[in-house]
Formats: sequence, structure tokens, C-alpha cells
Amino acid sequence: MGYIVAVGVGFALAFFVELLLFLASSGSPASTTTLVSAFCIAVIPPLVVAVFAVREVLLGRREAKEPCPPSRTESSRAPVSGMTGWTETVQQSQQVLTHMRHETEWSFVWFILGSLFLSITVAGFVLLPFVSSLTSLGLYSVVPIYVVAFAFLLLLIPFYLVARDWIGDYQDELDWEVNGLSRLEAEFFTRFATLAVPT
Amino acid sequence: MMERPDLFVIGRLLEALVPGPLRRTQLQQKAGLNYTVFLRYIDFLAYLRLVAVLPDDEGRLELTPRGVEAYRFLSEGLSSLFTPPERTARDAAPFSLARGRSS
Repeated sequence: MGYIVAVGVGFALAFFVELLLFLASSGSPASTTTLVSAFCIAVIPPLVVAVFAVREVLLGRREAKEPCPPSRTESSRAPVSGMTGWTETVQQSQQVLTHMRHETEWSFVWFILGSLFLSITVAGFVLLPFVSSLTSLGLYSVVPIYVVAFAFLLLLIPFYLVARDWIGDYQDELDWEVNGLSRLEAEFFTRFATLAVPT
Repeated sequence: MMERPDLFVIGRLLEALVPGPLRRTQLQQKAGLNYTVFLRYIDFLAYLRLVAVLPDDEGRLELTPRGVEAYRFLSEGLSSLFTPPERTARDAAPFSLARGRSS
């Protein structure tokens, strides 16, 4: 999810950079060169993120198709009727935990990065010229910059809250699973170790 | 008595014995343990009366009824822990996660 936000907003940012430079350029060869260079620089980060996003999607699809690696399915069996085998269950649970840890550790970064891109884009490349033209003040005078900084924060806060909520859910789930494993272990030893009085 | 046995190793050993009795080396290979650790676990499982040695020449190990029960307890416990109904809903609608699941 974070990747998608980062890619989308990264491309939006690149577009606005290009638009701004195009409007500012006078059509001379020198400005065209600048435009091409700026295009390359602006497009590379979202492209890199896009590659990661595609990789994530492909990995996710592969995991969905093959819950267990083919090499390990031989050792997995369900010998007791109507019950999933231990090995298979462990593999599935490890995949779930890995997925949740990955989301917890990485999605937040991309989510916030995307939010920053979007906030900067909207505030700096849309709001700043607009406010400057409305107030007939210069692009870099104090009033428009304050307005833009305020708008930037205002945009960033909801994004941050959504990202925090998203990660918070995964953290809750992760804690629940880890605590559940501890509980299972404790219950197992309580149930089977305390009754193990040699007869 | 072992200090802190690994539940996943116990599960692997019990699972390997569910289809039928095995010789020690076969069981060790299936569980993927080195022999010293393997012996510790087998002693521990025997102490818990989850496995027993068959009275034959090969000294094969088999699951006791308690062992079958223990295996079922572990498998079902882990299964229910990682495949709750909420997970399907989460995958379908990531933004509508139910927070703070009660245990």
C-alpha cells in the first residue's frame, strides 16, 4: 500500500516539476537541456519505487498461489483426519508473521514518504504559485510561504494518522499472534507436563 | 529435564511419528536435529509420556495416545491462532481492520 502511494505521488511530483520548468523555460536550447536533465532526475525516484512495488506485487501473488514452497510440501502431511499438518501450519504461520513484520517495518516509511511528496507537491507547486498570484506578492515573500507551510502541515497530518493507524493494526495483530504463541506454549506444558507423572 | 524445549521441534517430532513407529535415526533425520539434541528431546517426550519405545528388536519409537492428543492440541492451537476468520476480512478490505482483538 505504501509503495502505491509513493509511486503515484512520486510521478505526480515529477509531473509538476516538469510543468513548472516548462512554464519557466523560454524555449532556448539551454533550457531544453535543463528540462531533460530535470526530467531524468525527477522520474528516477518514482521509477525505483515502482520497481519495488512491482516486486512486492509479484511476490504477494506467488505467496497467494503457493502458500508453501513446493520443496517442503513433501514433509507436510495431515495424517490425523480433518487436521492440517504441523509443518504446513508452521509454514503458514511463519508467512503470516513475516508479512506482518514486513508491513510494520517498511510500509510506514513508504507511506510517509508518499505523503511528504504529495504534501510538497500540492503545497509548493500548486498552492504557492496560486497564493502568490492572488496576493500579488512575490513567489518567495513571507505571506505565501507561511500559508504554504500551514497547508503542508494540514495535509501531512491526516496522512500521518492514516499511516499510523495502518501500521498500528498490523502491530496489534503481530502482538496478538506472538502472545498467542506464548499462551499456546504455556498451555501445552501446563496440560502435558503436569500430568506426566510416571506410572 | 530440558530447560526450555522448543515447541516447534516438539511438533515436528510428534508429526513425524503420527504415520507410524520409526527408528531413532529415521526420526532424527525427519526432525532435522543433531543426535545430541535429538536424544534430549526424545528423553523429554518420553518423560512426558508422549512417546514410547516399542518392545521390539529395533527399539522403534511410537506415539502414545497422549502423544496423539498433544499433537492434535498443538496443530489445532497453532491453526486457530493463525487462521482466524478476521484474516480473510482483513485481506479483502485492508482499511477496515478490527483492532484490539479479544483473546
